[in-house]
Amino acid sequence: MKTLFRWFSIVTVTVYLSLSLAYLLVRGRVARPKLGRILRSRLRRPYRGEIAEIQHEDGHCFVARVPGHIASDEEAFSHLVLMEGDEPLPNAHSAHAEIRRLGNGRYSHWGDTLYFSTSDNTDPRNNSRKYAIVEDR
Amino acid sequence: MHGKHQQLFDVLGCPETNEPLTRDGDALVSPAGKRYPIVGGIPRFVPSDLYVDSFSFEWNTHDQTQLDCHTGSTSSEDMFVQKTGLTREMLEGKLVLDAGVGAGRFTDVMSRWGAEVVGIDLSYAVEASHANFADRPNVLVAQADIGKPPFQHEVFDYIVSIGVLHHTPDTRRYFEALLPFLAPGGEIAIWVYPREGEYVTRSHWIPFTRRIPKKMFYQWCRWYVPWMKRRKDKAFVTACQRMFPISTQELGLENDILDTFDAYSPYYHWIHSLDEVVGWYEANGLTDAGTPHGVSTSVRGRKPVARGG
Repeated sequence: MKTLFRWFSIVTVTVYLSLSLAYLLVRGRVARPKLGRILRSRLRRPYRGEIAEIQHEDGHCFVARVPGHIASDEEAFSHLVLMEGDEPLPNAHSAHAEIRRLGNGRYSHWGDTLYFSTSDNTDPRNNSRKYAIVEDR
Repeated sequence: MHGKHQQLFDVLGCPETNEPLTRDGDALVSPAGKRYPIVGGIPRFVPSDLYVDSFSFEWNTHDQTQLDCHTGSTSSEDMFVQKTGLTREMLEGKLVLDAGVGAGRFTDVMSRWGAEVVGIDLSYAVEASHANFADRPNVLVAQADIGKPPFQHEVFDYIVSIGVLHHTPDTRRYFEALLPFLAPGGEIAIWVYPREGEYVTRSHWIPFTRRIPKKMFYQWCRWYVPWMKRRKDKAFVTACQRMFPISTQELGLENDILDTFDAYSPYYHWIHSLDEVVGWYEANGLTDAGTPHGVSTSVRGRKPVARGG
């Protein structure tokens, strides 16, 4: 009986939420996946370069501009890896609130902006390390 | 209620008049004769859990999932410090109100630090928190509405309310309802949902998700959250995550299931800007209002010792 209720719940709620999502997408309340940008980004050569013009955002979070043609988590899935020196930082695709609150190398590629924190929550503008992004796909 | 510090009972008051209460058998009685029953060792100042049945369900299902004393981690303590800026040295021996105690994750921290803590909650989460702290004489739990706190005026050294006020009918009004109970020189620290990112997305979902029967939605969360996390590097999963964000606190799967249910099931889900929250403090004459550790919409402020008027 428990298993029946469980699967009834899963199916019913999934159908209900799918219909709700369709309504929210039509009304523009939830951002639609940008399929054109995803396709265009796949046709280009993977990007590699240092980040510059870093600014403090909030808490442990800093921001930097990223070339707009690279598909980010806003559209679908970012393949950017943030390098601190020679080491890739852990925890890509982090929630922005978590980057601000916890830091410790969490980052997010969102639109044309990189939200990131350093591995030890120092200020990347004066900790003598170099930061680069590599599109790994 | 045996074994609890008397000081904790002495601050209780009638929610209507805030006059002291006296004990009469299994009830607390106001000077006007209004009776508030003590059921299961918990003083009850409300007839039911009203609009917070989701919290009654989740905190009795996950009564210890977020308690540091149970998990052995310091995640709740870290979050408490991040969001309030309060420390062991500041709270030791002080009388503190935890407004919206839930299962007691922050009351656990404060009471271990030596504070005398009164926790109130409108939901039946009080059953869980009362059981969790049955052996701590410095903790008292009561079922009450934050909008009508059952206390005498100006009794608490600190009031904390983390992640609660945005689930009331009116965040600002319920914040202001707490202020008369803060002693002069005392401090109040709150955190409410910020008007940004996934909190905005969730606010659009709430009118739909809050209608789902709680047990069904919980079963769905128990299936969906692990399913998503197993596929978190897939493009379509990331797209789903942006449209319907689930919890990614990295505090374990049970916590993520609980936190996802918690994010979508409440009846009220308000979002606010930092300026808005600081404005509430300033409009009510509180001083030193600021964000302790740069966490947006975490604000702590002080009630002046000498108040005008």
